Amino acid sequence: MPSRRFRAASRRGAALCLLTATLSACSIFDGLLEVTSVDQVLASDLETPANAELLVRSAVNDFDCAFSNYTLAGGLVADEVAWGDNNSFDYERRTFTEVGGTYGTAPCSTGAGGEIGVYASLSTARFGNYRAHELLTGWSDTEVPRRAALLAETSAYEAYSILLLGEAMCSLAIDTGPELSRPAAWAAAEAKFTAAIAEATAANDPNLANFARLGRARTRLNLGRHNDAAADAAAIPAGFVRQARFAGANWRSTNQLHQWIRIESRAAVDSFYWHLSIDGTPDPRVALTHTGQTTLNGNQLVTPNKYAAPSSPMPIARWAEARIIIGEARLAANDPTGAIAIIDELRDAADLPNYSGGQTVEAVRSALLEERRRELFLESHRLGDLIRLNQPFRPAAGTPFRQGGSYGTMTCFPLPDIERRNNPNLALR
Amino acid sequence: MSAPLGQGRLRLSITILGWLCLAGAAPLDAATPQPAPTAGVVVDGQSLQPLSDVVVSAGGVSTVTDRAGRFRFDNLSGTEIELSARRIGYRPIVQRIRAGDQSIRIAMAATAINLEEVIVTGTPGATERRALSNSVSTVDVSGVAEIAPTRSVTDLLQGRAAGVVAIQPGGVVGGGPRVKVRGVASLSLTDQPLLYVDGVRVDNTTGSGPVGRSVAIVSRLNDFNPEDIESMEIVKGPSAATLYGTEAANGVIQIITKRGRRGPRAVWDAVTTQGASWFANPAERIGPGWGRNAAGQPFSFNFVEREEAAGRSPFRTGHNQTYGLNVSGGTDALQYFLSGNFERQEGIDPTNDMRRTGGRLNLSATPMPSLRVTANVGYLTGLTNFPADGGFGGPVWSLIHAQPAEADTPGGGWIFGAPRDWQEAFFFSQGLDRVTGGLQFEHRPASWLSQRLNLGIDRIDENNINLIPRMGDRLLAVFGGGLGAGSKTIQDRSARTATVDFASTATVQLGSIESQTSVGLQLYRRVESRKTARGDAFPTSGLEALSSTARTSVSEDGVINNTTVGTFIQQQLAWQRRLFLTAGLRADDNSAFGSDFDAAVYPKVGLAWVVSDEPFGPANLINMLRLRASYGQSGQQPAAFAALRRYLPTTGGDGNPTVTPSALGNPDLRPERGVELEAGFEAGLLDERVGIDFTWYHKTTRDAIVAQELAPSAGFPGTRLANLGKIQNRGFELQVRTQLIETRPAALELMASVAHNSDEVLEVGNPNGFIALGNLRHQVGYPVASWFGPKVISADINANGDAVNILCDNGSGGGVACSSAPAVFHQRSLPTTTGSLTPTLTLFNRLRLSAMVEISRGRWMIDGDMSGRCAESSTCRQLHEPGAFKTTEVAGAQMRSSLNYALSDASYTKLREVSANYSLPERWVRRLGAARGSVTLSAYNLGTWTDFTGIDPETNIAVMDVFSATSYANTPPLTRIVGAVRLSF
Repeated sequence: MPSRRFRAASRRGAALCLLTATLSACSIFDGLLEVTSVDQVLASDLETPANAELLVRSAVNDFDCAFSNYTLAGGLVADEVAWGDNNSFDYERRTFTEVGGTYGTAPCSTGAGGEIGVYASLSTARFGNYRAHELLTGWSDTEVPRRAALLAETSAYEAYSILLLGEAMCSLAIDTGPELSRPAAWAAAEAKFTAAIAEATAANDPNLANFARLGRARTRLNLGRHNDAAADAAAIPAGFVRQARFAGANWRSTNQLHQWIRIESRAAVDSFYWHLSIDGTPDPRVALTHTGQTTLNGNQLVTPNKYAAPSSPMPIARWAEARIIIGEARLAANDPTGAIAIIDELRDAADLPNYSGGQTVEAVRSALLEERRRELFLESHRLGDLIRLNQPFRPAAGTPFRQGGSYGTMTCFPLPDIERRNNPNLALR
Repeated sequence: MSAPLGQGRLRLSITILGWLCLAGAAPLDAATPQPAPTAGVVVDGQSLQPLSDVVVSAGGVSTVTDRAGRFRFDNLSGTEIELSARRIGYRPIVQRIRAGDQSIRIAMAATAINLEEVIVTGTPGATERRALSNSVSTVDVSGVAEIAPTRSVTDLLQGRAAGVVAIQPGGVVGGGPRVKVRGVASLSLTDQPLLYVDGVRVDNTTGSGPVGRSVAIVSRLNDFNPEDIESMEIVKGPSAATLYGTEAANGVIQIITKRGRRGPRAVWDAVTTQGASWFANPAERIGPGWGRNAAGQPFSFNFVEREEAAGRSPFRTGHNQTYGLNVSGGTDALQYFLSGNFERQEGIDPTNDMRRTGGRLNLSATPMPSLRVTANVGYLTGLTNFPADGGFGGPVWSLIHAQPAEADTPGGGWIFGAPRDWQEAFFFSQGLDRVTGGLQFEHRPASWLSQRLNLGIDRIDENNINLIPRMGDRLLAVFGGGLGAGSKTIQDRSARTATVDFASTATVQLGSIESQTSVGLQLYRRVESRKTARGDAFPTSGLEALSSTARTSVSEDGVINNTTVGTFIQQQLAWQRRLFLTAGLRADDNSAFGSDFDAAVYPKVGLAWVVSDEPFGPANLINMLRLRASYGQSGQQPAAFAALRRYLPTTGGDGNPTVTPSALGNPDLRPERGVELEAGFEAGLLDERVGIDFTWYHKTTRDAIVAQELAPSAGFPGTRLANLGKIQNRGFELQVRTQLIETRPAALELMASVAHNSDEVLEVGNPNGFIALGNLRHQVGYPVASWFGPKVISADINANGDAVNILCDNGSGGGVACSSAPAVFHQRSLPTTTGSLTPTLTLFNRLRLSAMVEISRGRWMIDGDMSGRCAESSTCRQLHEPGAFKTTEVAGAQMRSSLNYALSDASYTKLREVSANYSLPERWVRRLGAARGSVTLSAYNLGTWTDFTGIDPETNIAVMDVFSATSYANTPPLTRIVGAVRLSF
């Protein structure tokens, strides 16, 4: 039989255990386990109505950064930018593959690594705007001033993100959903643009509505619905422009065309754009500077004047684009004269001689597309245009590449394997 | 750790007091002439250090040795009498002495296995080794330091604790290794064991240092001066580390510093070491480069030989010196240990040196019989200058890449700077201040209850600097304008680790069963801040301030904090001190756990049985036998913030602040869980002349955290941590200690240890079945971090020396064009078997000769020197004399596929240490006013036997990475010779 001393000891031991257990369960430890970060923002702290403007501004900024990266990547794959360094060989040579390509994984903020992101950075921009829209939807007008306009803005930028993903990628996924073809992506973008137009109209923000409307026009052009595209484009007023903005404060907030070409000499404007003129008049839309310096791999460093500073803005959508869409629609409707009028409108705006070429549909189409190439030089359209219009990439596939290998056959970016491996709705190949 | 309150010690003290009383009560006959006193000293036969508390008996009288190991009999009569000495942990010794002899020297041999040894277990009070159900390695640091001066804690671990592997960065002064205990327990998190100093958890960062490859090589483990350390205990696996909870899955290293001991007067110890270190045989080890002469014929050229012949050796002999002084002593109420030391080490590169000054104060007070208070504080300040080394560049890099074909040109063949150019252009340094302090209360309010409160703080402030001054014309021509304009990066890292540890043990006797119930509550909080600022382009030479650069930027200003709160309960039942059953439970919450995960609970259970204490007694051959088995779990928490969805602040297009998604987070994130079953035995044979300690273990890491790729379409970049992996480690550790010769003039002891670990990835949580780390892969079914890549299986060499008809392994035994070949297994990268052999010969109880031979097997590394020569400068022999190699190797070299020609077996056998220690005769040291003294001459890294093709298998270009196995232009471990003088006053 246990002694009295032992029983007392047992009671005290039990009390001590109980005390310890109680203490360990006590809520005071919750406070000890809370962590704070001074250099990162926790989602739980960020996603409040008071931060609505910050959330939207951030999502738009993600888009601007992704847009800048895509414009550079698309320019390399197409024919606007050339003589890239080691980091961009696969873009320029058109030999990128779905396995391990940085186009699929590099976030916008990578920067110093010299990687050019497309799929991940545009997907981040899409998500940011989607998430902001989702949060705004759950908040009230009382909690968030300008809520209606913010809703429209996030819808428009989400739509633009999907639109560009559709132009860049051979196929894609949205938010770990199933694999989407390019037309399916554009259909999703069109719906988002339509919602954005409605929201902007409700918010009485015509500028935002025109931004979304021109985006929808571009989407519809991709879908081959010229008349629908022209109808949207026709609503765009002269002088309209919506730009990606860059503060130039760091890599991420710097215009990437300027960063790569002017600051780092990693690439230069392709010779296909050198010395362009119309009837002897230099074309100011493709104004370049032949610096006399060389790129990292020893070729002529030719820089685009339109992006002369780290903070140079990049047009996302503007009046000239709308006019060309109308021109293409007129040609599709067998109206070369109407298309010539568009060409002349654009040339007048640039103080260039009016069109003096052939009057056939084919001749005018060729001129209009040349006009488009110059007018929208380094503004994210070129790669999509080459694919959409089934135009040849230059140099042709098989041509020896200056630093080994030869030009490949890739045009659009294939769905990266990282998406296939980790998206539960996709099958591994 | 001293344990004055321990029962064993208490019983011993009572016995001693009894003997002393008896001795004191002996009547003295004042009329009898007093014989001359008989006196001497008792020392440890292994370390020759004095032994206190030895009961020495002669002529029916007993006494106890003091701290200096001294004993004295004032009234022994007769001419030759029998003297015996007894002490726990040592084999009794009896020898004939001459009465009146005052220079008796008795060397006691430790029992091969000491079951009474007190081990730090996490619970209060003393726990004897006999009660442990798992293996804990103990390194007697003070004994080791006495006979072979060691520079660092990692030097002490290497070869002295079975199952502990040190992955060295090389021989740069200031560098320290990664320490792996029983293999690798994680695929993504740190592999470093927890580190405690006197019960206080301290920073154990590895790979600290100036930003960059091959210079971020500092191990904070080496901040603790071996001269201040009494012993170290290595708790190896989850089954032993359960009470340490989350973060302990990689094992635990306990450092126990020296304590003052009560005595009639203060004891002063002074030690100084002087030594030299050098790069042994650099010409042969760096080797020649290959090129073609004007006739197109291959030839080799050794740039090291040329430079040495011209008196321009890029390497110097470093001078190393240390000075230490400590004083200790005390009364019954207060004991103290106070030490100070200064150290200056020079590397072989003129830009590499280290100066450190440190001190320690340990106080132990007993304000009342039931309370003992111990205060410890250690301080270290210093500056280490690092050379450009390894993959970054530097003299070795320069010598490897020099072009033989241009050796006779004005440029001397240097393709990117001569060795001295690197030494003049790049400067890396780390300033350090570290304070570690602790306050421990040991309270015994009742005979059945003991409790302990540990409060501690470890504070580190590092100032890491990369400086490239603006270059003059000569260096500018070498390194170009980008580097030539100069730059400076400052990274300040400060880390604070706080410990609050309370535990209580209640002991009650239930008949023949002793019950010990322990409970504990711990709080560990770690706050680490990093600030990194960079400046580019100094306007003129001579400027070094960040503010004087043309462009400055702050790239990092962050704080990471992590808190663990845990509690445990442990119940131990001991039956007649020979059968011990222990069960425990540990529960932890950690700030890095996901919000959907509450707490981690780790169980343990163990059984130890001292078979030889059973009535049926020990067998004739086996004097002592203890069996043990344990099962237990512990964990490792993910990185701070890993569970949380986070956004990164950045600049918006309009210059206003914005944020961008940075990490998706994982609310389900939980700690990795190490689950281990361990069994083994200790046996003492042949009158305990032979001791065997064997442990088998099977360890599985469940819920291993892996960086899970994210589908980009989800919107967050990169990866997120998830509990998807599973790893298995299996192995054994065997240590044998034997006294081969035991005579008075000579004693020969042999210590041998071998450990084998076999690891395998069981799950990685992705459909590929692997996680790629460059050419290393964690692939299911293969060892952790194995080398994977296309494997050339056949090739022909044509008349031009070009590899043609190259086929690679198609993964199923056939051949396929290498461009479409799959990545297949080549070799493992982590060692499987390590061991050491340490013979010690003691002559005349004064001269000790010892050596340590160390082996490592199973590690395969990339010889980056070879691949650099082949792939970067085209100066490898494979490219110029293909006939001297296998065709597959030539094909690999021409394809620049390093796995196919530069993957090399990094197994080695090293003569790590040879030492001679002589205890000076007392009459000599008395002339110096000292009580005892010794001189030691030691040499390190005297020989390496290896098939590794690089400079040395103990080098690594990225020791900051857990899985790095590439040697590339690294300074190898240096050959050193050190002389030491010790005096005690």
